[in-house]
Amino acid sequence: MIFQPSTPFKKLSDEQLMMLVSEKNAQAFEVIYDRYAKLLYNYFLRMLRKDKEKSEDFVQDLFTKIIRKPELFDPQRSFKTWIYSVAHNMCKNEYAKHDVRKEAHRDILYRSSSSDETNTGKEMDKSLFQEELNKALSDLDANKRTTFELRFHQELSIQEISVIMECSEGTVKSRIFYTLKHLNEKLKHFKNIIQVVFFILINQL
Amino acid sequence: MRSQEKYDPEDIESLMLHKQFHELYPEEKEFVLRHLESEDEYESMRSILIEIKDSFSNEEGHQPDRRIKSNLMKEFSTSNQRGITIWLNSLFVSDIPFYKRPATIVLAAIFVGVLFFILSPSFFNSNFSGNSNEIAQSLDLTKDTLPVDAPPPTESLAIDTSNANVLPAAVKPVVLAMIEGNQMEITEDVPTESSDGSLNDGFSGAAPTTASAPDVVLKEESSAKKSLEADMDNLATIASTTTLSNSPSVKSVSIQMSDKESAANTSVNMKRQLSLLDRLFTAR
Repeated sequence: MIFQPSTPFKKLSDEQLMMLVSEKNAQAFEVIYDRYAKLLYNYFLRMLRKDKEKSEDFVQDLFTKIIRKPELFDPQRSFKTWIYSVAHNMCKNEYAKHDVRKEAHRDILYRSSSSDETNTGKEMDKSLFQEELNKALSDLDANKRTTFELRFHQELSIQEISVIMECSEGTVKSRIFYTLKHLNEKLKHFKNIIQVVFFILINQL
Repeated sequence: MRSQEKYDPEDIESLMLHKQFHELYPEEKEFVLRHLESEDEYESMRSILIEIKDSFSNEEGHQPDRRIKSNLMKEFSTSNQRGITIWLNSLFVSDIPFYKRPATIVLAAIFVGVLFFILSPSFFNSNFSGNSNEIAQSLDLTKDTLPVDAPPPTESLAIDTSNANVLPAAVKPVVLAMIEGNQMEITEDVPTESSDGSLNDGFSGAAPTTASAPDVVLKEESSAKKSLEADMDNLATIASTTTLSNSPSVKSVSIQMSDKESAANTSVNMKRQLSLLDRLFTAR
């Protein structure tokens, strides 16, 4: 076979793929989708209080914007920060439309990250912890919640978060610190309860 | 962790992830206690942070519905209906060397194929054989001029001696060339003089040789045959328009063109014709 294929699309950077997308390359778009669809879907799930239908709509809307207007992306900047900026703005607009906080509180009571009823004891602890965590996060304002989500769930750097949220790095650091402090206050009693229950179970055995 | 000149809240996060409170340097403890109330709070926050990281890292996450991807790909194809451009972009990928690009390889393959087709024996021979046939036909004079089955053309050369006495000057060189080229000597008796003793051959210069020549053995070479035939053509053409006067005799000279197989007979005929001509010349 004389013909050798060119550089695989999966080895190209996000910025290179976006340049190909702007040149109407479907394969490049597919790679971009495979890289970011799941991350953005879970981000929307957490930011939109586990609303699956709305999260899927947001994912589809976001990638449709990329299809129709790929020129909106500036190749000089990072695609990762750009796409999360778009997602963040979409969530902000959604918060402005509805009072999500009241719905979020109710949703957290009825939805959990793990709905498997056959969980072991440890998994149940984790499930309970996440529920409590989500409940505690719902009490925070959107900026702190978004910062926490981008930092610990999406694992973005302080610099990237500052670009996405259009604020200084110091502001990002402060938000994270005070979020941890708030969570500590809210979950301290939960930790204590878990430790007590565990101690009791050990003694009975 | 070495102490740093500047501490900021981010360092508290990294300190919590990597060190317990008793592992902190004095400078780090001082910094932590500036932002937190006590060691217990530090340890409590540290456990929460570790739990959060552990919880999020083990979380597999959810996949969006597959129909979203199919809908998006359809949307992409309908909104970007430039099939030729996409196809060309895939050929002219810019991130790879020029010689590795698909377009270069395809063009090279086409070029090699065309070159092979042009230089192939069948292609070459088909053209050449056609030309060679044409060339052969053009050179094969006997085939065109003398069909094998056709009877040899005959031309009669009538020398009308009743008219002018002048023999065109072109005849003499032809006859002399025929004689010299064939190295022939006349064997028959050639009348040296006409009845009136004069011979007006129309030539200037010396009178032709007498006929009292010894017997001559006919010698003919293979190359002389062709020149003889050509000369005979010329002679027939010239003689057909030539008139001789005061010729002792009027002879009709039959020049029979023969094919290659009867070339010897032609030479004999030529000999007789030359003898006749010589008689004419000597008579004048």
